[in-house]
Amino acid sequence: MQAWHILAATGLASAWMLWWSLAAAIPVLLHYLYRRRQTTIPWAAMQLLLQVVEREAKRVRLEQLLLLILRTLILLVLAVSLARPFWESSDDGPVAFRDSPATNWIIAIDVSYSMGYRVDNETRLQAAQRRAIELVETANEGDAFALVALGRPPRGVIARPSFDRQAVVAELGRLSINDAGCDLSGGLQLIADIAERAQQDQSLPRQIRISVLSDLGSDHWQAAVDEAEGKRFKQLGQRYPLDIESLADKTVANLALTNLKLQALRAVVGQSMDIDAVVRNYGERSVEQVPIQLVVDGNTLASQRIDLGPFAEQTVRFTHVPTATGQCLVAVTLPADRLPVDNVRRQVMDVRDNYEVLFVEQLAGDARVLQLSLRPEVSTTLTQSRSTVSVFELSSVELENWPVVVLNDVTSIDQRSHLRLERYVRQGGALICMLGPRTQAAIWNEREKDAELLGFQLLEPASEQSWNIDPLEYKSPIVAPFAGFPDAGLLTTPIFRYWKIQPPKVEPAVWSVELATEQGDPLIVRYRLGAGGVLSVLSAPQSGAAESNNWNAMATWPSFVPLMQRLVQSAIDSAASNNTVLAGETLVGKVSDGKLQNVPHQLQLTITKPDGSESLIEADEIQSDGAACWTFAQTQQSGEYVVRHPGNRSQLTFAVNVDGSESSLQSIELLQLPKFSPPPPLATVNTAGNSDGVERNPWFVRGWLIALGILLLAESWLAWALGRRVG
Amino acid sequence: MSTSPKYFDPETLARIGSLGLRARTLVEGLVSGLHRSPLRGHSIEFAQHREYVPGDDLRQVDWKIYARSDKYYLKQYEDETSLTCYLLVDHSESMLYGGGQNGVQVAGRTKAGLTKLQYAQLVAFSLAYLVIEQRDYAALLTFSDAIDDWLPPSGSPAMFDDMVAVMEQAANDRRTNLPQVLELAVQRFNRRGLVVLISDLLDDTDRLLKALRLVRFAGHDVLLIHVLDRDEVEFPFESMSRFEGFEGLPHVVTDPQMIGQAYRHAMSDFCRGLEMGCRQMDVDYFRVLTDESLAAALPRILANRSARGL
Repeated sequence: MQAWHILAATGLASAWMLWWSLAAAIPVLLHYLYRRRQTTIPWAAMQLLLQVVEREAKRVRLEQLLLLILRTLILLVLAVSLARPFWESSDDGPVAFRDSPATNWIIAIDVSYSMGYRVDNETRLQAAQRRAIELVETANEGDAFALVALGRPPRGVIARPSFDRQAVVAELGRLSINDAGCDLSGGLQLIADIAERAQQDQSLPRQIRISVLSDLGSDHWQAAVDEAEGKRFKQLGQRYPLDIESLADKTVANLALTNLKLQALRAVVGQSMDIDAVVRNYGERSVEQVPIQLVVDGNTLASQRIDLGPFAEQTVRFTHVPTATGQCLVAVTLPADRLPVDNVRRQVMDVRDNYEVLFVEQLAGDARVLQLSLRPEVSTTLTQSRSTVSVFELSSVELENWPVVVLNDVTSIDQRSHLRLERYVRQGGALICMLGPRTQAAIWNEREKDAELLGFQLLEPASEQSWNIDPLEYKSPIVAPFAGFPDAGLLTTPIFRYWKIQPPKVEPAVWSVELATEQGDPLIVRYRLGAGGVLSVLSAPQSGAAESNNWNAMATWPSFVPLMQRLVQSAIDSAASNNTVLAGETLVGKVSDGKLQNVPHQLQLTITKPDGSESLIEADEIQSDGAACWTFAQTQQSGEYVVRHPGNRSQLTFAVNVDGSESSLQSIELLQLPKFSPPPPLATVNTAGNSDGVERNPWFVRGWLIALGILLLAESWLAWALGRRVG
Repeated sequence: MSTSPKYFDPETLARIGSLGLRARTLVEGLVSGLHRSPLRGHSIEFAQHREYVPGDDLRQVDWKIYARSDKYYLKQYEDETSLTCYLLVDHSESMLYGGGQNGVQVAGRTKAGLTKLQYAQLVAFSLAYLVIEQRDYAALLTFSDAIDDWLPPSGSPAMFDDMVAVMEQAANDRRTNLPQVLELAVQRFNRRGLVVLISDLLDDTDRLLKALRLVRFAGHDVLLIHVLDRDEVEFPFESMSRFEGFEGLPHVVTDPQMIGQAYRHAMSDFCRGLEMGCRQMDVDYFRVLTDESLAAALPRILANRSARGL
């Protein structure tokens, strides 16, 4: 039995009585006080006395020490006895006594992906299942069992304790790994809720006991060590008897792919692109000649071998040239090891013949400069074909045909166009909005109140002067390529005026500043809206030729062409990134089919999970444009998810990866968990229902009293023997 | 000898400051209670009959008179031999121990009795008085690690004053070296006699017994009076104590209750060893405690001598 079991099963009914244990210091104090008080006696028969003292010194010290220990122990045992100790356990683990009351067992099993680590042909989860099944099979008659899977989200597999052991064992056997990790906070709350409900249920046993089987992965259990979750954990342990068994291994060895980065999520047929995979060795031993493979749509296209030292990381680069249009699943794999789930990382890439950009201009020819900046012969990554419409034609354009829409310094757009653009972005479109001297702030702000498209309110143009640019440490993918190339001209781009804005109070993941002035005012901002995104440039590019409304001379600067191309690229990427998510995140999609407009009932889609099983998902109500959105949140398995529309042959592929936080397989120690005083066991009501017939592990208390009696006898005997010698 | 507690009680005697006055007080007591000296020689010339008193030697009862008169009478003879009694008194530092004289509480009370030296001096005075009173000779030798003073044998009552003067002037700050002293003393004793050694005998037992054997070989009769304080025998201390050694010995801190029994055993073995050694050499050994009434101690010593027919 592990020490934790003993600690968890042992307790004191009146712990405050332990203050009496301080009295154990009294014999020690008296001993030293007695030794300090000396009487001086001139002595004649000194030779004789010296011989006796020399001969008896060892025995005297031993007897004094023995007596002191006995007296101290007596007081300690007395204090513990007064605190009414109890113990509920046996040699086999957290099993109730035969005469203990019927118990509600809440078995919580960690199903995070680190539990898939395999040692000796058994994963940690299998070991946990085996232990839990043992617990169920050896429990007392009349015990009930609830089962909680500690994943993300935590799941009450058997939320109401069941007396059907076979069903419980069957459910235990069906537990599977959750690649999304473990939400410990939610798990503890779920356990507390189940325990609370079980206590109120008169048909269930009153005694509740919680048994947690986990590898105590530090990525989520560290929260229990820290203040916030530690408090909740402590409260749970103080309220109910809590056993925790660690299934962690002392030494681990694991290779993991921690990141997969494609040069662009939307590629063009025939143009090569780089794919970077980051491999990390979490073991203490070096690995050599590890094969790493690039797999596209199930076909292995390239392979490399690398050597990795202990805890080392290495980036492996593959080059791939797409040959067919459509979605393709790019994966990089490692050979299977003890934890196979993190040996593969996937990305969904959209390949087209080219990407078309729709320019919307106020006056004819306004967008010419922008069009020129995206010339195919200049572009290195994308081939953009371009089209230009007037702002007045915007309401009649089929936006879904254009992956990217660029508004070039238009005065305003009508409300209908504003709503259409907002829906277009929500459904995965990319919008680049250039705001300049023509922009009418009042109208834009009014439109924003109806439907947020840009995500901010315009205030006023900045005063005319030369503003310096702050690249914000080149963190943004838009300006990242300029890092290390000061001659590219980004920092010296002439900016004279720009729109000052009122930033929204939203999370950084939704709204971010990509480029700013040195005074801290934003110049380029990103607003994520639904499945798409909006990039707003607060000083629309100008050539600087016009003397009036001279806001910048961006178009004449060397940084202009790469900046515009990165702008479009980033807009496309951010709009496409939702096809690759982490396990546990929600898949979002859209079905667009004009034929569905007259279908009264909700649209159903079929989703195929990585394990081959299928689920039906219902899309939201069909919008006026014939499109319907759908979401799917059950992405606890990593791998490829394929969504099919039953009415047509199209399909949508999603890649779900593990987040990598558990790949290190670091675990916390049981002793790191907060200490708590377990609650006393409940009184047992006798068969007559008389609450006076209370039994509380009487043999255990009796054991302490017997120990006390033995100590008293020993002390008395020793004192008598010594006194006899003295007398 | 009748008991006169006011003369023989050690505590009463201890309150008398002057050694001379203390000795005379004791002697007066002895005179009033003593009928005769057992320290006498033998003669075949009949002197008188005397009525029997308890304590007399039954071997001297005249059974013929008893048969006739049904009364006990003793036959007494004229003493024609003279006895020389050499009184050897230990004046070493260890003899200064007197238990409660330092204000030490023992068994809940503060003792105020005679030191071992004072007690030894009184015993020596008493024996000298008895010897001189019966017209024998008494000599006095005080010693520590060597012979300090020497009064040659004398039968004059003035000897008594000389003894007081010698004992009062003696220094008491030296160690004991009994074997050496005995060897030197024997060389000074030019006439065979009774050697009475009064000491606490806190010295090497084997060497002491060897020296006593030498005395015996010189033809002397030896009477060993072992003077101890009751504390030294019973070791009655209770609290943690620091024992300061006499005669340059180091101190020791100990819990008397924890070693008391072992000490008493050791002291008992020490005394028993001395007694056994003495018995093998036909040396009379008496152990007296300083709180023991001289009225009880002296008759015990003298009666034993009488029983030996000396």
